[in-house]
Amino acid sequence: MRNCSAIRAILYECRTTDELAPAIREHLQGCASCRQLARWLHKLDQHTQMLLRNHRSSVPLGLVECLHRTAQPTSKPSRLAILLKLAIGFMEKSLRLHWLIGAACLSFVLGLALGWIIKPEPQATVQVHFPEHGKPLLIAVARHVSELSQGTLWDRHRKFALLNRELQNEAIRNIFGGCDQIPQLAYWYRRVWWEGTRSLYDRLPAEEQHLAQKLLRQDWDSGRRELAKITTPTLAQQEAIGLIGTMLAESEDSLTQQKKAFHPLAQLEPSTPAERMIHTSLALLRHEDPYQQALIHNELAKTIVQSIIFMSDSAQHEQAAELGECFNLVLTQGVASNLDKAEKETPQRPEFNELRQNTLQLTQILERHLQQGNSASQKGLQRAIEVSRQGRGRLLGKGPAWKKFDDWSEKGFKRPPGWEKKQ
Amino acid sequence: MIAPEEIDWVNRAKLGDRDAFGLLVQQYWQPLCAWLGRLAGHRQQGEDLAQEAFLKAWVNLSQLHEPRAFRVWLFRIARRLLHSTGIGDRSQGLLRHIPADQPPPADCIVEKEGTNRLAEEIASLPTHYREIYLLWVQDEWTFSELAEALGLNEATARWRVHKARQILLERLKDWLAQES
Repeated sequence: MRNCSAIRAILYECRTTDELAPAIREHLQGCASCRQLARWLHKLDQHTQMLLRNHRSSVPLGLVECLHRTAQPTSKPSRLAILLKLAIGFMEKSLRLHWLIGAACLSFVLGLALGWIIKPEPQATVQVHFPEHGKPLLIAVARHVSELSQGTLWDRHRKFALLNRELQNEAIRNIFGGCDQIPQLAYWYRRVWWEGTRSLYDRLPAEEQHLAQKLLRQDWDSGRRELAKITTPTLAQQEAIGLIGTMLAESEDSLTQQKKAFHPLAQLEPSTPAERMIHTSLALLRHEDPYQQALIHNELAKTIVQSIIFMSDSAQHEQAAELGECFNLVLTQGVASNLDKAEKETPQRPEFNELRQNTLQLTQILERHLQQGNSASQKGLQRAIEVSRQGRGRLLGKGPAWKKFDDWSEKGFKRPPGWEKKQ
Repeated sequence: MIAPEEIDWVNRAKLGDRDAFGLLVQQYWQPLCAWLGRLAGHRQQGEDLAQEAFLKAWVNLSQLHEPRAFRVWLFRIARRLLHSTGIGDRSQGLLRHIPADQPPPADCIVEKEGTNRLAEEIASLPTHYREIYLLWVQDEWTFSELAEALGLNEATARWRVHKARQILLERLKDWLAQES
């Protein structure tokens, strides 16, 4: 039987206990401290692996093509180098001096001439025209998605159409930023189009359909105009432009040619918060039951809270506050009012209260972060909490807030208790 | 251990097949970026270095005699690039500034704190321990492959992995005990 220190030295050098000799495994069964060490080492490796896996990075689109091009001798010095190489080979064969001098002169002249005649490949001239002052996709998506719970059929159709426009604009912006996000954006564009905008369009009355078509056409035309401005695209940009063009043509054809067929897309899991919000908002269309709607809004609220924390951690206070407003809207219009509706239909169900508590916990998470976070992140969190206070009150059953002073003259509206005394 | 199809990709890439090289890039982009990112202390620098390493690999692929050794050869190129820029030597302590890909799930806050601490402790390891431990932990690397990629002998590679894990365990004992 080996002693513990020898066993430990072996444990530090192996990945799993399965690799160990039977005698050592037997020792582990009998020795609690060595067993604990093996367990801790395993845990340590697992967490480090997770840390490395979190470091996700996708292969840039067109990287191999780009590597291939970079490796080609296209520049002037490389061409000259090839000519010199050929000349040296020739010189090695014929050692006469006058041949050497003649060949050197000839290759020099040829090198210069070729370098002058064969122009290097022109570099793509990329100018960012479009939309320079646009909001980040996450904020724009949160804004549209949080407003889905209110309004008429027309409003909901417009919200999804606006989501389509945001995705289209983001894809065009991404042409100038490496083209790596375009396949995902095209996928989510198509899902929003077929499951949201297009399906709600069919349910609109004829005169509204006419107006909707006009507005959609404006969005597609503006996208096409921006694509046309890219004069000398690189290979990767050409591919991206083709993909966006197809995406726009597909949606336009589906309206003009009355196509309703939807080729099912390969299921793609949402990977960013914006994608998760879109995914959740599409689920809203599949359920009419108020409790289900409240549940889905709760999911939406979770994603918004994560985004608020992320934004405030990265000191983007304005955006954290804007997300706070969306959070407030989801709490009041999405969760609380749907739960109220559900309670009217079937009162006293325990899961209603459970959902309410669950949503309230999200506001507590924000508050906990405010207490624990550093000063840089606190400002954004504080603003987000302030603007979402009404939603929290509504969940706690406090009802709507008092109206402003100017509105008190409205007929039949009560003044708050003690107001007259205060005056 | 390198898969048989990878050997085929390397052979095809050596003959100039760009698609085969694309498959190799696809295969090793993520581990190489993660490793270089953690060593350089900055995600973007890691990606830039990985791109440069693949370019060097593509240009010099004809010099690789043993297709089986592609992975080791690629990481050796990447390491040499890292050291030639001097980033790897001055990156200690920068690692904690690498932002996460996405906001953390709301219910994983406590876990996130532990992971942050682990990241900080790994960042504070001396470079020669850090590079070998991160490589050893992320894939099925044998000690002889590690030694070859990092220009060491096998016994030193073993010792460095041993030491890196020992240091980390010593520093993170309380957290690991909590986890258990």
